[in-house]
Amino acid sequence: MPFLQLENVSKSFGSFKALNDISFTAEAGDFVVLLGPSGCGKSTLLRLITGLTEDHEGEIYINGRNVTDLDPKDRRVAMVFQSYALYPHLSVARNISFGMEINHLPRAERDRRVLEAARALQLEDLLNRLPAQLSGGQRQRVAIGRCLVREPDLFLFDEPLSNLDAKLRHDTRVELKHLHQRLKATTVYVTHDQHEAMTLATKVVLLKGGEIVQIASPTELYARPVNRFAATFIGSPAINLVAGELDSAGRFTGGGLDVQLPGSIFDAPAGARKVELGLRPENAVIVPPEEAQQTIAVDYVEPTGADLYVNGHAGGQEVVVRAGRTANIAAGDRLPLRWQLDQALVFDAESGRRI
Amino acid sequence: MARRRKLTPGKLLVRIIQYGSLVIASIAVLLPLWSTIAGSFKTPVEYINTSHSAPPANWLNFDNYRQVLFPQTGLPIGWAFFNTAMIMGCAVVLLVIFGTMLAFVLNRFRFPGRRLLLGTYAALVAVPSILTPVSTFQVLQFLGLANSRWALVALYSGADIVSILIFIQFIRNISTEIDDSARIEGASYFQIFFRLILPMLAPAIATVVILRCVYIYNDFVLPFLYASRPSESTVSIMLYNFTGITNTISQAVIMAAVIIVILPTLVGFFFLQRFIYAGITSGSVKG
Repeated sequence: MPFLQLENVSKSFGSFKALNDISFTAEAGDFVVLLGPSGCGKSTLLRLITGLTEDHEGEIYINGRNVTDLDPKDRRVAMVFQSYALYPHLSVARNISFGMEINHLPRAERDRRVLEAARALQLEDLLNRLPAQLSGGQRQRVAIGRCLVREPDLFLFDEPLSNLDAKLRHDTRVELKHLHQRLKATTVYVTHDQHEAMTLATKVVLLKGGEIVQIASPTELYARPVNRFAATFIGSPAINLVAGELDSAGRFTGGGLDVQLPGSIFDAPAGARKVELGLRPENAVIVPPEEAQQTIAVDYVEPTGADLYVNGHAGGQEVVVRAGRTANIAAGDRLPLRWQLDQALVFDAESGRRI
Repeated sequence: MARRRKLTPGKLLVRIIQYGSLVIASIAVLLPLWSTIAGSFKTPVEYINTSHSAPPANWLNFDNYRQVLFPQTGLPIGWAFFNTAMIMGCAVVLLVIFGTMLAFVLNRFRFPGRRLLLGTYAALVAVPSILTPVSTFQVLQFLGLANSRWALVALYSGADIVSILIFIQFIRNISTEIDDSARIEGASYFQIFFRLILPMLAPAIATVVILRCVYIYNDFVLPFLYASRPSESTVSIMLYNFTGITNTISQAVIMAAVIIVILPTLVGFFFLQRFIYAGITSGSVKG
């Protein structure tokens, strides 16, 4: 039996269906990221796993136990909240030991676990401080420490990085990754940030409108998204979608392109139909004009340091491509391109499903 | 060197008016206080024969104070202080417990009639206090509390809308993730309230306690109506009794009593002014 298992979980608030028939599993040591735009139900799902939100359909199993009807305290889960929810009037040490005090653990055992957690999280020098005297990153470590000492089956994170500035967010993300690799704790992590999902997850559950869109590893999600939504949600800048026609021989025409697509990119034999061709910005190569499949008119160039993102248009459609930072490109240029078509994705224009 | 800006005749006139009015207002406030202090050190005969603003002949004449603190007949003023302190202490503890619990429940739980409950507290403000004494007295009599200090404890310990709103305002700013976190850790609602919410409400509690203590200390009407027996009397009633019933007591003695009654509030103000300012502004700035 998987370590964490959700079976046909649905949740409604009044007439609003927040979650519809959610099922997924995670093995021990997995880092599951619930990813999706705001309002997709990911936080609700996390609260259902904690038991903080009650009354849902379906079953939830953690570590072989059916916890569906258990109170939050009996589910052996620990959670890091978006605000960290540290108790402002208690010292770091008391914050970490609060749950153990409530549960009447002997003092010696509490002190031992607090010290152990503090050592693992480099909080030893901060144990007597109040939360207000800590930086954002330190506060998060205290929140994690509070989870560690409870020795839970499952760690839950609710958008823990969203209150941090960009630099700290990166550092903390790295720290979380290290921590997970060291502790091998089974984790469910909620975020709307694709970078967090891609860097942290061993398994991504992509949600939209209360339903699961795709469950996959980060690399698979990027390379083989099941539909247009999954393809556009992951990747920055977003994937280029070129509208056009596919004929029965696998030839695509549209947006200034007229190319034969390799058969390997199709999951199933594709008939002639209207499609959208998905091309990631990094799959474009700038070539001499005579080798070009497509020539785009450059509108503007975004330098990001390592790369240039060239925004242009071709055949009435907008296109973004990645170029090296040394490329000499300016607005108004005409840029001849060749696409790595073995990386291309083809979506049915009507259903949005990948073919 | 700093150059002083020139003072034109017009500006000078404005200054004179500004400072002149302030000086007059200050005198209006301070003169009665001065004559009270001066009067409290005068002998009865001296008090009648000299002007109110004249200083006493002997600043070390503590006879009046001795008479207030250790009277030959009747109760000493210390007894009234004891009564007031007891009423204040009991009422404030009850008020804080009732008020914070009510605010916690109103803010954290969703139940039918929640708004009605809060609305009722608000609506009670609109009932003119002149209408209620008779029925209040009957209720107190029914409870066996009439004409005792406990009547005042009961009346003062009821949470009013202002206290409740101050508490609700503070609780609203405490993230519900704190509650959630504690629930996951195994805390009951009582533990969440007493171990987390209540300590975090400390600033609000300080504000409410100060406001309520000032009100209780100064209140005359409720003690006069419901606890007027000498043995039950509060400071304000004891002071009143000095003036009214017995003409045998010199006005100078009353002056001494007034000074004794003012002193605790002055001392309290100096120690607590930080909290008093914070309390008065905290409600107004956050909206």
